[in-house]
Amino acid sequence: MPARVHALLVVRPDRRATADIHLRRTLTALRAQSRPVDALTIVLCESDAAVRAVAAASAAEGVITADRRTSFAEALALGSHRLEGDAVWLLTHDSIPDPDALAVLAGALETAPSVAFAAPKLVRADEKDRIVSLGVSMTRLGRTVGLADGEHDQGQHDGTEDVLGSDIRGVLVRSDAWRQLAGLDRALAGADEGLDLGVRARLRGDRIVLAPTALVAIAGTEQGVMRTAYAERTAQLHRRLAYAPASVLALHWVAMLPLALMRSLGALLAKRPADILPEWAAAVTAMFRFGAVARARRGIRRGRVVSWSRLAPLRVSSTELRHRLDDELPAESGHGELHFFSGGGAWTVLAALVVSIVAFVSLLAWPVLGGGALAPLRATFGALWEDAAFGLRSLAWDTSGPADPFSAVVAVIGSLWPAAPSRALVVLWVLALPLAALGGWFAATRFSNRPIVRAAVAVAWALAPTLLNALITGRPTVVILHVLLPWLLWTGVVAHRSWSAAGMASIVAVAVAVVACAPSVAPALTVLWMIAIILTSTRGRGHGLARVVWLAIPTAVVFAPLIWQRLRTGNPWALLADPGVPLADPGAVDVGRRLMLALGFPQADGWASLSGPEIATWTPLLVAPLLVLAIIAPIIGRTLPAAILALSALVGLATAIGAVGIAVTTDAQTVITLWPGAGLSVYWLAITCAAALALDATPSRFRLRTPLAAFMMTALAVSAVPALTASLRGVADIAEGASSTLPAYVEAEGRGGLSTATFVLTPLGSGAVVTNIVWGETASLGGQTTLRSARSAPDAGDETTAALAAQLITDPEGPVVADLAAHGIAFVLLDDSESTSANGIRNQAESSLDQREDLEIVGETARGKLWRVTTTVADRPATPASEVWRVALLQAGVILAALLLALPTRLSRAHVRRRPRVVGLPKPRRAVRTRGVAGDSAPPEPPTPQGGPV
Amino acid sequence: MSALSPARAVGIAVGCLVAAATVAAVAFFVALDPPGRTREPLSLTAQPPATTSVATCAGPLLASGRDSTQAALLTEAAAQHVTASAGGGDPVDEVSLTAQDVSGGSGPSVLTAPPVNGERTDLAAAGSARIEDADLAGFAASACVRAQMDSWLVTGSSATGAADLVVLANPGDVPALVTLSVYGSTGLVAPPAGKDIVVAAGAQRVVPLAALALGEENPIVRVTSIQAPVQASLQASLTRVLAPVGVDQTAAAGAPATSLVIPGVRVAMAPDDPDASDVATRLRLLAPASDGTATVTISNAAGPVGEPQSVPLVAGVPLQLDVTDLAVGTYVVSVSATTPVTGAVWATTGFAAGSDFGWFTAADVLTQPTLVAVADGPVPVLTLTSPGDADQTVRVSAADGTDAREIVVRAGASVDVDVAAGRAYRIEPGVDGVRAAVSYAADGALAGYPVPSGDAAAAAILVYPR
Repeated sequence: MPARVHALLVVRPDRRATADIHLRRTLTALRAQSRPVDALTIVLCESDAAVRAVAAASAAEGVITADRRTSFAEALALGSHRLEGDAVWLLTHDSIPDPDALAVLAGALETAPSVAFAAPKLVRADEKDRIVSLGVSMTRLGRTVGLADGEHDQGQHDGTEDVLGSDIRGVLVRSDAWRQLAGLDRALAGADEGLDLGVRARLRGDRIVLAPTALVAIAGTEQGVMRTAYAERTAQLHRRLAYAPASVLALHWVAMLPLALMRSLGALLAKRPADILPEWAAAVTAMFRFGAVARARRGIRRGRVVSWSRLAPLRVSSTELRHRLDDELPAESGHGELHFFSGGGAWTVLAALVVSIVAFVSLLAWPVLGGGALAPLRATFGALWEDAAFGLRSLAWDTSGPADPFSAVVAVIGSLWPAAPSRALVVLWVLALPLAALGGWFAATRFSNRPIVRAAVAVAWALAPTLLNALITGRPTVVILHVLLPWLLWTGVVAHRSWSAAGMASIVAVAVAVVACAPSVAPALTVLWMIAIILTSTRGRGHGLARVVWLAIPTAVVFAPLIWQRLRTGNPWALLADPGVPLADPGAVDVGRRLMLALGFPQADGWASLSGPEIATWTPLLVAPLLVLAIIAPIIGRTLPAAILALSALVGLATAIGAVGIAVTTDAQTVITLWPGAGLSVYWLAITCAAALALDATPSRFRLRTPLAAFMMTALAVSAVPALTASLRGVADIAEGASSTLPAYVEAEGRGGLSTATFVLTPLGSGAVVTNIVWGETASLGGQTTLRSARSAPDAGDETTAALAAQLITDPEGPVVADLAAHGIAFVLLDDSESTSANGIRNQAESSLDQREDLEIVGETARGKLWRVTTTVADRPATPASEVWRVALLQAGVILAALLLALPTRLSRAHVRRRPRVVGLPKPRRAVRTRGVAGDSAPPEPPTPQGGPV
Repeated sequence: MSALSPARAVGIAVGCLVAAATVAAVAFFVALDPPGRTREPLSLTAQPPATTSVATCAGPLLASGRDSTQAALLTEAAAQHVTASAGGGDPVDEVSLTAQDVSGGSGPSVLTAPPVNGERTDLAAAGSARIEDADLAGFAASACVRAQMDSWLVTGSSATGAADLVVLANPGDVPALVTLSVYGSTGLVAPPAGKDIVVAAGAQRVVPLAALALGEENPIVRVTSIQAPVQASLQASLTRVLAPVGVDQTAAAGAPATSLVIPGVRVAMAPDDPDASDVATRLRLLAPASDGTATVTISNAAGPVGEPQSVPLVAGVPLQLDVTDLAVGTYVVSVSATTPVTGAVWATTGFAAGSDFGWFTAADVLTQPTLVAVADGPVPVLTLTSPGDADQTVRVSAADGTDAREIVVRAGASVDVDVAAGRAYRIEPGVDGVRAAVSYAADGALAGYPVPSGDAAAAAILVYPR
């Protein structure tokens, strides 16, 4: 038995100011030891007066005061100067040993002289059957593996004796070994000290034993996630450099930064974005501590008597590691089966598909959609994305700048059918109803587990007036927004729970973009996002706040170039402009219109042409059952979700009502107000989900739920009849479109790309002329840009265009065509769509163009009369590629990060399964604990409060 | 039923408040007229570039059938004397077009004046010709005008004794493809001879009116050109019992309008003249598009003459109206119709050998200072009439600035101004604008032409860039 045990007690700053309490408990426990310590030295790295008083009052033979930033290893080194006795017991102020701990440890040390140190079983102070640490090993590559961390102690590890290392806290080290090993490696600041000490001792031929019956309770709190990650990673990298054979040391050093990059991607995939910054910090730290590495390597070399291979049996093999991880998966609870197939979800979607095919049967044969705000898509994959890139726009003289994010949405859709991108839009049109039903059904799973309620939401969402209106009037932005919006709700309301949901939601937020398709809803979504932030910070005590904040970041990055451009040109209103082909709002702005908006209709519901105006006055009230259910939701349903939905509905309605009065776009002589459809989608989603809450809360004993839901769905179905039959009756605005908005001759010639353009002159009946310059084979949907449609004043290019138009119209001579050719314009088209042949300016233009020697008449086409420039046409100068790539890489990087975050992993799926699918339920008693990484309790998860963001 | 728990009761109360607040907010939104944001469409006015002023003349008088072996052969009978002037005394270039259908002809003159300092140059030209041959006699005068894509020949006849010719001149650089369609007693016809007439660049083509509408008393020919504008004119000549009784040349008129004013109509034969075997003055009217009613008013320097006369119009069928009881003098014939009309007045100095007739066509309103060329001929008179309801002062001066006169043009009346033949004058109208015509009347000589508006500067074009 060692004659003397010297205890070194290190008091280090704690996150919570309870160090004195912990210290007092530890000192009390020390005094209560069955085998008392012979000497006690306290190292204070804490200047707190209360702590000092406690230390002074103790029986310590020495109290050393050190700087706050002193690491554990350094503090021990300070204390070691006064070391006397045969063994040294390393303690922290928050490690409270059981009364017989020292006796057991000392006994373990006695068993053989080769034992360098004995390690106790560290358990949680508040839950003594939960192991914090009992033995530490490492893999062949040096990764630290806790052998029993976080496990429930059932004595299952009590037979283990030999280990590679242990947690440093509570360890009893033989004094001579301690001196020869020169204490802890000071380069290890907060992690792996015990492992490193064990490895070095083992290399000297010593042993490390566990004393599982010696209990030391750990009362301290967890360090911050990032700080822990930094300490662990730094320690691992340092050990790697210290342990590696000299021959591969340089290789390790060089590989460090590339490895950091790969591990950062891995961290994203594993939904641990908080690890990325520590990863890089650790890599840089470890790389440039040459002195520490040299010291550590020297220390190992000096005392080494056995080879590294002797350590191999004590390492953890990859097989063992896999078994260990499998055991770590927690049990599932609270997240029942989705019941998509058995619960009627599939049938609802199928029914919507059948209705859609019947309603839009003629679309199936159309290669291209036209009419309304529809335009052909570019014919090739490359051109689709060229439209979405930063640089010269494919409309107008020389407008250059960022593309609308909507162009990227169009490019994604077109890329789904690369052989015929325009057909992808036709498919979207036919699938819009079933996709909306699918989205609605999934959104409903956040509010109810009952099949009938989910089906009702799916039907109400698919038959939303704003979707039907967008389908028959040809507004692709609203259709895409409506299909995506429920997914934003589905993921957004649980974004605070997991990175997977947050990543997914942020992508949907970009795509729906919600803001890309309808920037006019951005203010509404911002309001809801802020509410989500407030709710997360108050009710969830900030847990998951980063994830909720992240929701807006990809959208912000994607919009950043456009925002910058708009602010620079002093035209912030234009940010709200609806992207795509400008299409005027035919409705008025009066009380009647606002009433229709409040009922969810962006325009008249279409019954007037079927039933006459007397009946049509009342048909909008067919949505009343849904609205009534939504209104009673706060009364009978769960109050907080219902209140948040009510707020969302108001925000959506305010957006729609505000939109019809705000004009930011123009199309030739038409001034165009924002389309209220997008705001109404938000409104409709909120009231549909509120109705779901109400239906869900209907007392079961009255058997009212199914009749109510059926009544609501029937009323909506009747309301949708005019829209669903519009295509069959031939009154829909959508029509089969041509593959180009230009004559077929230009389309054939312009296949090569966007380097040549067509100058389109459209004489108006009033004698004015509309000019347009279309690059490539067609004016495409993705090529539209709000830089043009929402500009506030004519730019220099417009002046040039107007001057050229005047010359083309009036002057049959002159150098105008040479100017056109030099700029890349190869065709001139006189569009007859707005004027008759008796129109003076049209005739003047035709006569003047006909007379030009440098124009050759191609002929009368369906789009007007076409001329070809006969002189050599210069190609359009390209945008500097570096600029394009800078912007594209940044945006693609953020989207990629969001995508990696969104990819589910086994662990993230398991996390999701532990939470109820429905949001806003009363706080459940938690049956399963989150596994604390180092045994400490993770902060409790937020009590699932979210109703928003929608 | 069990009593509600207190927590649930609070929940319901809060829920009621939320529901009520929501409904109230929706009602507020609907009732509120939120402040909006409006903007204007983007438009630019673009000034067309100044282009070269071009005036194309009718060309020499042509005679047909002088070679007995080639009855259809056209020959030049009398050259045209052209009087031309450009604003500010700038030089006027003159070239002759190729007369493809005329044997040995020199072709009509084309006068051009390039822009000076980026400003379009005023250009005025008129030509006249006199002939005293056995088969063709009389005096003809016409203005040289711009070529047009769409124009109307409202004069001429293909009745017995008439040998009228449609003359098409293309002063441009690309060939024109011309279609002639004829409004006659049976309405609109598209004669085969009038289809796809190619007028080569810088060339003149001649089509006999009889080939288009044989035996038609009152034909009106619409000249439609594609690819390049043409200047259409009509040479009318009449032979009565082997004796030539007059010749005339008229330039094509513009598009039909509901208001038609023909100033400078010279009545040279009194109604009680014993030689007046027929009506000496006739008005021809056509409403090409639709039926309607026209009101014809005649006035002279003293004011209205006689009562306005109302006539029904049949769409597409030209109408001939005899104008009787007018003393010898200069008149203004005004037509106001319910549908766009076009037309002309025919007048003659007699019906026997040695007489001459003239066609008078409608004049545009001149709103800008306009140059007018007075072709060589006997006793030219410049007639001014105001389109407005107020008197106005018009300044008339010689093109070189001399001989300036302030002339008061009264509403509803015309003013005849003596001018010198072979000179150019500048008319500076008042605010309402003015219509003007030059006419000639003497023994065996009757002619007149309206003063074309000298589109000095083309109007700016309103452009909406997309």
